[in-house]
Amino acid sequence: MSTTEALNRISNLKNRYLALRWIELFLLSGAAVFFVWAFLYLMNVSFLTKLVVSVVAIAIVVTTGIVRYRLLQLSNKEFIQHLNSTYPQLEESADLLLSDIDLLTGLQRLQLQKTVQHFDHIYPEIKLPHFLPQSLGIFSLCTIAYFGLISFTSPAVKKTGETQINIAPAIDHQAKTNATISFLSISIVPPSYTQIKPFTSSTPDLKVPEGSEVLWSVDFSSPVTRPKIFISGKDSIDLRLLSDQYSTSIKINESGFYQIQWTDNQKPVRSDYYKIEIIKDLAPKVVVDNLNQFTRLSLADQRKLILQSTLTDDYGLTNASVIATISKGSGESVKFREERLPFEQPVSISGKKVNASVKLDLNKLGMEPGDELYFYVEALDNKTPLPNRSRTETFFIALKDTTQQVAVEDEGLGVDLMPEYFRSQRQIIIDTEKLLKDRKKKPVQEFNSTSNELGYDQKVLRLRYGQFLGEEFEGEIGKATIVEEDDDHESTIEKFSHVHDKENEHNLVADKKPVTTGHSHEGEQKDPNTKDNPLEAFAHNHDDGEQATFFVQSVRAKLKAALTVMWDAELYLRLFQPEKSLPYQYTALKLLKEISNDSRIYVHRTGFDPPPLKEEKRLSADLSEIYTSTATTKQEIKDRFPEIRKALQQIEFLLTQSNRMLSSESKEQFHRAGQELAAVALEQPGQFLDGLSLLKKITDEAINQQELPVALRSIQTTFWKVLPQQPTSPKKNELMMHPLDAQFLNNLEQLQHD
Amino acid sequence: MIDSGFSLHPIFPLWAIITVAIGLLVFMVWKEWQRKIRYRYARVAAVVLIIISILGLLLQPVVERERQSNGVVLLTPHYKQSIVDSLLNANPTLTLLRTVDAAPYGYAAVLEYLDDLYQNMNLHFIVGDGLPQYVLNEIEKPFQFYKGELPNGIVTWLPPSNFKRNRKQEIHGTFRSNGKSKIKLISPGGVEDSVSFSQQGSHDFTLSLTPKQSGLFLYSLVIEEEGKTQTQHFPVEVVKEKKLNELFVQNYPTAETRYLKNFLSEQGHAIVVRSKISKDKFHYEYANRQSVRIDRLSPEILDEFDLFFIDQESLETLSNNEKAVLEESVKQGLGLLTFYNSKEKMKSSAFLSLSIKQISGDTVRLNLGSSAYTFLTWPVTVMDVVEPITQVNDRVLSGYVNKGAGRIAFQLLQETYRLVLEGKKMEYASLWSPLVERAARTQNQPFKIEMEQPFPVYPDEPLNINVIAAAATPQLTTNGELIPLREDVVIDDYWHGATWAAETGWHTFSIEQDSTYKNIYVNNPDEWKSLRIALQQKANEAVSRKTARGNHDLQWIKERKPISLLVFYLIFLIAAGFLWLAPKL
Repeated sequence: MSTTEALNRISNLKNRYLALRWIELFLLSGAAVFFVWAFLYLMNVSFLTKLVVSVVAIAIVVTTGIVRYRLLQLSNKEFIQHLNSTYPQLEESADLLLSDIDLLTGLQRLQLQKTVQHFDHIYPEIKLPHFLPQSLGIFSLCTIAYFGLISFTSPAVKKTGETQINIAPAIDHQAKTNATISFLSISIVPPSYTQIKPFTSSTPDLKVPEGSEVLWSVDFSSPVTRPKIFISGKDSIDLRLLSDQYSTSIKINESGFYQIQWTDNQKPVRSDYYKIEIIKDLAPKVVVDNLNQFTRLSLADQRKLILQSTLTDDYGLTNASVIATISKGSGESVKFREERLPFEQPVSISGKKVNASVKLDLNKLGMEPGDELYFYVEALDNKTPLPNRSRTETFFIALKDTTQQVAVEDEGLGVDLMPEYFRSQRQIIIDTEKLLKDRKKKPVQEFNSTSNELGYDQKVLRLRYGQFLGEEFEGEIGKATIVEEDDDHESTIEKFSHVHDKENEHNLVADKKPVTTGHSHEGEQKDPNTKDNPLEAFAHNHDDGEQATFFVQSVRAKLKAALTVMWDAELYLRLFQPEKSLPYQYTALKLLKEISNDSRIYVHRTGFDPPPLKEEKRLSADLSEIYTSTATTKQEIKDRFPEIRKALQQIEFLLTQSNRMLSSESKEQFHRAGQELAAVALEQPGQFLDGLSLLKKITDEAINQQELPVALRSIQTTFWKVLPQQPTSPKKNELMMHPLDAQFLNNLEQLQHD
Repeated sequence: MIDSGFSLHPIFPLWAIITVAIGLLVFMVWKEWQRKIRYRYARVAAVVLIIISILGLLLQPVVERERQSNGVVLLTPHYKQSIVDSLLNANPTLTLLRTVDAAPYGYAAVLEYLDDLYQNMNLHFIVGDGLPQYVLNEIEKPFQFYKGELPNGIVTWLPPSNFKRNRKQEIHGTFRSNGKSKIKLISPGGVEDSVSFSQQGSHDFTLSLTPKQSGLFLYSLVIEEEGKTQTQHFPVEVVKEKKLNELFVQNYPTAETRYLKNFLSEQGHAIVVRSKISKDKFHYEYANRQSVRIDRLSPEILDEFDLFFIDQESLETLSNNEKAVLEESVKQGLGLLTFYNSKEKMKSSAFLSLSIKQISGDTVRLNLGSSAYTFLTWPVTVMDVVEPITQVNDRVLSGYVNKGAGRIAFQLLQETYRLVLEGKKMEYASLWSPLVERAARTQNQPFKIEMEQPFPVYPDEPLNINVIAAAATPQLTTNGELIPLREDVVIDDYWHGATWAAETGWHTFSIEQDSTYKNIYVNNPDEWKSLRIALQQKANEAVSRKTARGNHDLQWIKERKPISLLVFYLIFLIAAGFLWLAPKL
């Protein structure tokens, strides 16, 4: 073996040594990386941090290795020195191999040769120093440690110490690439009348007084486009950029929910759902503390009552009063009077709770025995623009009327105890007839006196009817005349004779009576200025019987006639000639009957007017035109919320599975169910919004495996609550009939027959 | 593997163990032979011992011994010590054995193998909770059972045979409480019903539930007792309603039929209404179905319907032929419900009518839902053997009478449509739906799957399944696997099969030939323990001999005991230790 060959071998050996060291370093740095990752995994840091720390770790390990093993500066000389020290066979002379052979002394050459020979001997046995197995061991340990760690533990949850509301973007995995909400503040300005100071909400779920102005200010982690707020899934309001923050404000008048949406990288990103709950301004509560709903006072009772009332409202009262109605009289003559009584203590109503009182002085209110007082307390609150108003039930105070006579009509008694104020025309006729019949039995004096009395009765009756006509005074009586009697002015002969020598011989046209009749003349003479008084046409002159307007003209005329006839009837009764009076009395009765019939009102009956029957078809039993008719309906009422029903079963199935991976179909199903749920949540956000958010999280896979069963259960409960109670439907029963069963039934039947 | 006096219970297949053992033995003996150190024969012997001890560990041998006894008393959990004492007093030569989970008693040895019970033991008495049903099935010899005390918890549980949607159904049960306790029934939507007990003892309870959706659901029962809560699940399978086919025939339309028809058609049932207009002229109404003309009743037409509503007048004017057809159809399974037109016409002699008796009351007050309603009723009472549906006190207001396979139903309440007018649809439904359902024809199934085991069922226990098959040989599958069935020795078309459920949860058994299926829920073994014990006691009582046996002859009984694995381990340790030590000696 030559020296060059030996040198080559040494150089090979050195390269092998370096390679071993490098592999060792590679393994160690790999181990370091895994070790570092395991630590960082526990601390849950970002990928970038991991990368940086890993590079640093690698650098440290490699640098240490290079420095320690002098990997970059390792010269052949150093390597040979190492060989010399490790292998005594080389007799510390291996460095001779490196020196120029020409410069060597003889001895040195001899030694070189010897060394080359020795080197040749030991070459296969040369072991280069390395820690390869150890490094491999460390590497495997670290690898196992890392993978073991990540498969058995979950990373620590990042704690956020931010004071602002942290609206977790609904989609976690998108959050790494997409912009997130970095800042959100919600300030609420309640309506001024509530006297609540403006405040900021500490959670994105809002609970605000009705009519509040809500201002959202949102900042995003990176620039976004078109941020919006969706209110109750219907209206969307754009957020405007004002001094680095997007903001908008809305007046909230009804409960619902909202969601913030923004567009980042052409992809719309949506936040979770948050609820908006309205604190309604309630109507005031009014309670009357000290009075029963019905109070009945007797004559001896105190007529002064103190009404005490407690008024409460959530924001404040502005006004309250007692509304009293007094009723006087009874039956048709009842009269009502309404009064608004302000509270006396305190004089002006304000504040959230007021104990108000007022003294009800029944005498001052003008109440007399028999009268009743109805009252209620009304209160108004300070809501704008329209205050809430509420009132109590109506309370009653009645003053007993001890003088009132109670009329008892007892069927068992034959005698009418009702006072006989006046007799009717029929009674007068009956009495007159009776008087005539008994004429022979009675002495003349008694007869005359009875006749006179009947005449008096007739007068009373006439006066009574005269009242209706406005003839309230005796003086008016007799002025009226029967219309027919207008003709009296024509000559009696004329009346009964038949005059032919006239233009209107056969009465083909109405007679033109001479304008100057006695009646009209009389009237003109009485009041020649009538036509000159223009007010006459518009005024109602009630004092004048002629002008009374109780009745329509025809009735008035009849009544006048009746009164005239009554006058005559009375006349003859007073003259003790009842037989002459009777015809007048009959006429009066007839007229009175007509009058009472006239004043009745008839309502025309309306209703189905059947078409006229065809007489020839009646009862002919002809059915030729009657056909068998059919009507087909399909009116099955579909179940409400079909998608929620399907999703319910899906959840139950998922819950029984050990591997709860959501398939794309179930996600699709949940999505559809979510749409149905959203419609319900609109009406009752408080009850269903949480379920809706949870559903969204599940479909977006923002929930990890451990929390999934709990979330699914919660959604299932929500779904179940949404389903309405429905009427039960009969269902078809199924039965397996073994031939033996059938045989048994047959035999049983047989047995019953036997 | 039972030899005389010795048997093996290998962990791995026997041939594999033997092959490996022989290979190992040869290799190790050769290896030891090669080593040039002392004690060659001793080392070879040690190797042999090692192999034997490994074999012992893997094969788990059992030795049989014979001993004399005149019968065995088997102690199972919750046995009463006093009973065992009395038994021993009466018969001192009895051998005591106990199951693993039973409390120790004197010399009572643990029963190691159930096989022993079946084969060679002279079992006389079982004390305590008894043995599971699947063990009882195998024991042929009679024994006497002395039951232990019932445990606290639910000891009877009687849910309805199937749960129906939107119907309030009741579960009855018995609960043995230790003190103040509360049972809550929880549906997927939250607490459905609850019942609480203030005293110790056995209480009957009723819980009600109204499932809102069809499908398979797990309801839970939470028992709160003395601050401890225990949750157990029970399966609720709500079956989807199959729609009925109904025929109304009436002389003239009435409000009652009209509202009933509307109610049923809204639920999706197929309905034909035939109202008479004039002689041979009719008005037909069809809901949810194709039109059909019914000039006269024929078997073909009636077979199509499940329930036949007819008014008394129409019923009387049927021709003789039609009457015969109708009667036959009812016997074949058709349901018949007659509407009465007038009191006078309610004669019991009339065709297909019920025997009735006039009574005085013509109104009745009925509780429906949360409030009570007053109804007009026909002043009669039905004298036949009646299955009641609606009743007030003892007065049956609606129900049915069996006739052949069919049913003749009656509704004595009048003007029930008032409820619909008042908007009380739920109450109206609760009045009519059960009646219509029970009166209607039951659909014949070609197959029926039954479970022999009562609820609850646990994993790794035999599930005995019976199938009644009307026609073909049934093919029962679960999870795509066929379960072998054998036909009953005595009864035709009655098949038995057995399987084991490996996991808790729902298991579906279905018949290959058609859509018949049965869902069975397998519970977690921690749940329903008290119920299981109560059922087990009942099952043991059922097979127990009622009288004490007279002869207690001495018998040789075989007793089997496994050889302790510790022995093999020690042998292994000593032999291996010697091999390690040998070169150093």
